[in-house]
Amino acid sequence: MKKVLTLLLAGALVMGFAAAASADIKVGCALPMTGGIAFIGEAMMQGIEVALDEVNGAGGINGEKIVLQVEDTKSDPKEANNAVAKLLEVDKIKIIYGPARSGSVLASKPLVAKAGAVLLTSVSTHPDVPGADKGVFRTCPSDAAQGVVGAKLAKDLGLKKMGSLFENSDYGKGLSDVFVAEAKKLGIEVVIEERFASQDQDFRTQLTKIKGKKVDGLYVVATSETPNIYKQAGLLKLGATIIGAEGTKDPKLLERGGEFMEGTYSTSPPFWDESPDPGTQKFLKAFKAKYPNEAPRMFAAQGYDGMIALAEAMKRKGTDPLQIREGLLTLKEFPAATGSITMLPNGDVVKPFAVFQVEGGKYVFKKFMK
Amino acid sequence: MSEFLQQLVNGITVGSIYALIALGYTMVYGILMFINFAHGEIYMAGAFIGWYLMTQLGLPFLIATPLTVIAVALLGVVIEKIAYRPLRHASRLGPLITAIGVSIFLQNLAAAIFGTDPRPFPLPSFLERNIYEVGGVILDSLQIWIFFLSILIMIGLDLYVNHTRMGKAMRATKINKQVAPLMGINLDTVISLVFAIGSGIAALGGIMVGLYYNSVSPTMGFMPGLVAFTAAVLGGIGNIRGAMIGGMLIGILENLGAGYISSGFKQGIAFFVLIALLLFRQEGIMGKVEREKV
Repeated sequence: MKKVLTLLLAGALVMGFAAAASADIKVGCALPMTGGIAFIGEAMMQGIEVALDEVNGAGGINGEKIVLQVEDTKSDPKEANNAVAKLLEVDKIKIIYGPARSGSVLASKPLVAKAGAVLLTSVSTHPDVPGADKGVFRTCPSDAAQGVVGAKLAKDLGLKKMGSLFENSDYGKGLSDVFVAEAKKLGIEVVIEERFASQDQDFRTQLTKIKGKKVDGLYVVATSETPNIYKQAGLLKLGATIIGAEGTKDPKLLERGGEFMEGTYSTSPPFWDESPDPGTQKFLKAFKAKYPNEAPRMFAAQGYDGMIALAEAMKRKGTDPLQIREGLLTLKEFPAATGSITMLPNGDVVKPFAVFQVEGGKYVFKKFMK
Repeated sequence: MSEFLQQLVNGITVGSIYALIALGYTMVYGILMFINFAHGEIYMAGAFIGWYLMTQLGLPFLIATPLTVIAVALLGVVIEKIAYRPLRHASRLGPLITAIGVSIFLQNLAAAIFGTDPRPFPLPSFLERNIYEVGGVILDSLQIWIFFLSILIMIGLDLYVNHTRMGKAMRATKINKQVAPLMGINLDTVISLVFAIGSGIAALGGIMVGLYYNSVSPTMGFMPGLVAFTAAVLGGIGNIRGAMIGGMLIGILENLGAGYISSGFKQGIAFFVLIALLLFRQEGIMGKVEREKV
């Protein structure tokens, strides 16, 4: 009996090795598949799968198909660091896609630099994230721009006294700081800045303080907490115009927030169903064909963009991490789902932001701002 | 002043829920000297089962809620029987670690069945939120419901434990687990009942929170579970009235602390209290210092 078992185990082991065909390009994905921001990871994976269908369906990169190795970051920066370290050191995969949180990417930068690898993120917006010299690139615009857009929008809306409520993380604080600095430059008084812990559900304490300051506008940097923040603000009769960052714009959040989200604004990379951008429409068509019962979300579009950027870089320069770095730097006006990608020498991209307002239970595109 | 009162109102509402969850912790500890770390997930199970019955099967609130309470009470009894009873005579560490295992298992089970996204939990029409403004303080009707329902449950439990035969049996078991069976008390029945009641109450808390924040998610029990445990310790672990006081107090402290010191510390306040308690007054507010009689 023991011998049979040993044989079966050996067989399984051999099968494991045979699984990946030798001519495959492995991309390590460190994404939040479980935990608080799993909804971001899930949407990104949808976009990534659409991208892979497109790339591998057209023959891959010189006949080699891209294959994913997915590690769960569990929505936690510590786990994200472990996931990236595992991909680099244990699996020896030097092409990394992800993580999602800016804090996690910042923590992984030194690892990537040391390993001479390449890391691409499509949703981390903190100003310090990109570093082409360290091999870290991104296909989403920086919070350094998003915060400025938020402040300019506030000015356009005639808001004079504002508060800021942000997630207590690198991303949240980074973006809020940019907003506050720009708002002050534009002559808007920012009288209160409050923070909350990620995944918190009760914001009445912070909102009560904000209400006490009698603000006419509130800048919100949040993700899954958005519906509760807006709802509690409504119930407390805060009476302020709300401008949210890109994490507040997602149909699933609208489902939960309902009427309390009406009239609120959000800034986000330009992606919406009726967008005239051909890159967006191409993605929407492919997405709806693959997932007919799902609404295409921005995180899916961003997930798609990151993967096609990587694939294109590989096509242009090669599949070695250092070649991919070069390849990414050659992207100019490369058509994508959330606005064309032009890579800056430091690994960042610049895109105009779209302003949306919730009207009749939908995000309605209002204008571009930069 | 109205800001202070508003924070107080917020704190009392949250505190009522902490109190309900804390009751389960304290009752189980009182009898078994065991901290049921999976209790937060029982509360989450209540929220999910209630959510499922109301939103997916369309059952009305007044039918779904009692069904949920019964279902979760049974869940608590089953967990006790499978995971904790076999270890009843093992060292104190065994059941504790098992409880953590049950907690992780339930969280992942919920995630596997319902997905990790938070789900919206809409209010039944008779609970529609009316907003009352009293002297600059905003109260919404749901907060009032939660507070009164919690008080009702706590009074009910207190009466049950102190004025019924079964309650007496529970108190006796708490005083001396070895002698109680000699007095004709069936240990297994008492323990199962304690788990059932604690779990049922936590389930109610879960439904209330699901409705209050309009959201249920598999990880929603983790933090409230820890805070409620702290509340139970604050009130004197093993003491039912203590759990009620502890819950309210922690809720109020969290909100006042976040309101007047810094909102960044909100989550940390409960744990700061826990550390202070363990250093200075382990028996909590209503607890009695246990002396080992030789």
